[in-house]
Amino acid sequence: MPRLNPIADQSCSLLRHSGGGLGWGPFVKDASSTQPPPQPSPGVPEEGEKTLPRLLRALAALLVIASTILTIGCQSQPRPSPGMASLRVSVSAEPKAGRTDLPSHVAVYDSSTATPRPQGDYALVDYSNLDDIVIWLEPANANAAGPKPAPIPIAVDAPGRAAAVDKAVSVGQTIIVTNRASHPQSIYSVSDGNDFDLGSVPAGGQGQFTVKSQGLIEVLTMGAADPLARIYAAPSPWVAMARAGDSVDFNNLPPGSYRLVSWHPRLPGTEETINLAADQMAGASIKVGVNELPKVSGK
Amino acid sequence: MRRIHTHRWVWAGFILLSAARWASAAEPATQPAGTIAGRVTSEGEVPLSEMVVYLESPEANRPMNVPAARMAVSQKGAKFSPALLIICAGQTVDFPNDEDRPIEHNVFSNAPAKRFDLGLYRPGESKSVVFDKPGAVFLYCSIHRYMDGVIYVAPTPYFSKVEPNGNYKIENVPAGFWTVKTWQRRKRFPEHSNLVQVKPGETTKDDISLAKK
Repeated sequence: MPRLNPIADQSCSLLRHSGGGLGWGPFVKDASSTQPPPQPSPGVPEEGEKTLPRLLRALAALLVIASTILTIGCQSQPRPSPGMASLRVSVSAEPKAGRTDLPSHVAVYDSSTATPRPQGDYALVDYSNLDDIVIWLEPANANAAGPKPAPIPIAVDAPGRAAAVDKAVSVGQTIIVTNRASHPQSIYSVSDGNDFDLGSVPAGGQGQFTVKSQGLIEVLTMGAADPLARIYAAPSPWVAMARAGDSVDFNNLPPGSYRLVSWHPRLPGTEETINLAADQMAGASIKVGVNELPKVSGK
Repeated sequence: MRRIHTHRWVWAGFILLSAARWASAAEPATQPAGTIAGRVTSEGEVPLSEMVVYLESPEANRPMNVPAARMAVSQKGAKFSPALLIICAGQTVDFPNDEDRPIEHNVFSNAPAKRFDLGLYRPGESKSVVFDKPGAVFLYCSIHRYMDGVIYVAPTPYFSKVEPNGNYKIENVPAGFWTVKTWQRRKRFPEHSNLVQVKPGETTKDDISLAKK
């Protein structure tokens, strides 16, 4: 159960409950996230058992049990700060309804490997682990601005290693690009609404740009057809990346009405309005898939 | 007798109207036409074979003939073929499942120019879509992770796929002013847009140089 903790100066936090990708935006991965949570004291010292009366021992045991429940409860149900709200989003993806072919066919079709396709051309989409889902919350009141997102670093290497989406960021956020290649790179973008030109960035050097509008940003370098990185910019500071099966928590949000939006590079996303009340943890779920697309049955 | 005469007038009117409509629809084809041709170059790597050059009319409501021919994107070997198809807005595309094994596909697109889901269907079956809005329509199969293709829906019937050496040619373009535009499947440079004049029987040259700025 890896956790993502907020940067200290942020007024919201995000937790991820199942394994998988990273969350981004104004959040960083906690270096201690893989450590097991601290265990409560196993009990009262042995010497005390001889001297304490039975009633006191029972009370101590009750206290231990209560503190254990509280500790576990706080981890799985983070409570918002007084006057603030929280939201837990369950993320899932579903295949096309009514599918009848079976994955058992796949092995037969693994012979074609024109491009590196470890599982063959007929590799199936794994909806139970679907990655690259971006989720964000937009206040319904346009004047209700969230926290200003902190600058976020990305390191770019050689072209061709970009994932479908490397990071999710916010409009208005500054992206600090570090050239990790062993040679200078002319780094730029021509993505709609987010074009920039960092010029020639020396090996190990940095450049930065500020995200201007919503959408997918391809970070490019001269002389290469493939991008260095792909970033999705959401119009909100409350943004996270998720994988099917994750639960994503948005914590310490101002109470009010929000649009909960999800986006995927290929599949249709979702959009719904939710109301968050003060001092409460609300729940929502999103399901990414093709089943809501307009059906066309033309012959 | 009077009734027969009335019928004659009705028929004559109908024929005249039909002829007028036919003439109006066929207007662009009967106009004197020319050619636009050129070469695409860039200051860096651009996958030229995944580029489209097309014409847009600077005049709103200019009459345009939508080609009647149906186009097709086949699904075989878990690939779309062709991987890039260019059509004119209003054209119909068939999507036959041509697999030689019992493999279902589910073609869909979430593109703003056309959102659709063809549902699941087996080899030997085909479905079709009318693409009525210009723009890029990226195609996927919801079952097979590597299946992707694109249909570029041009606003006019005047377009060309760029050859691997960068050359393009658009023929039978009605004389007049046209805006030459580009579309890159993998956008690496700002798109080109240039107003040109096509003269009857002549070839207008428009070389396209793609650059960062």
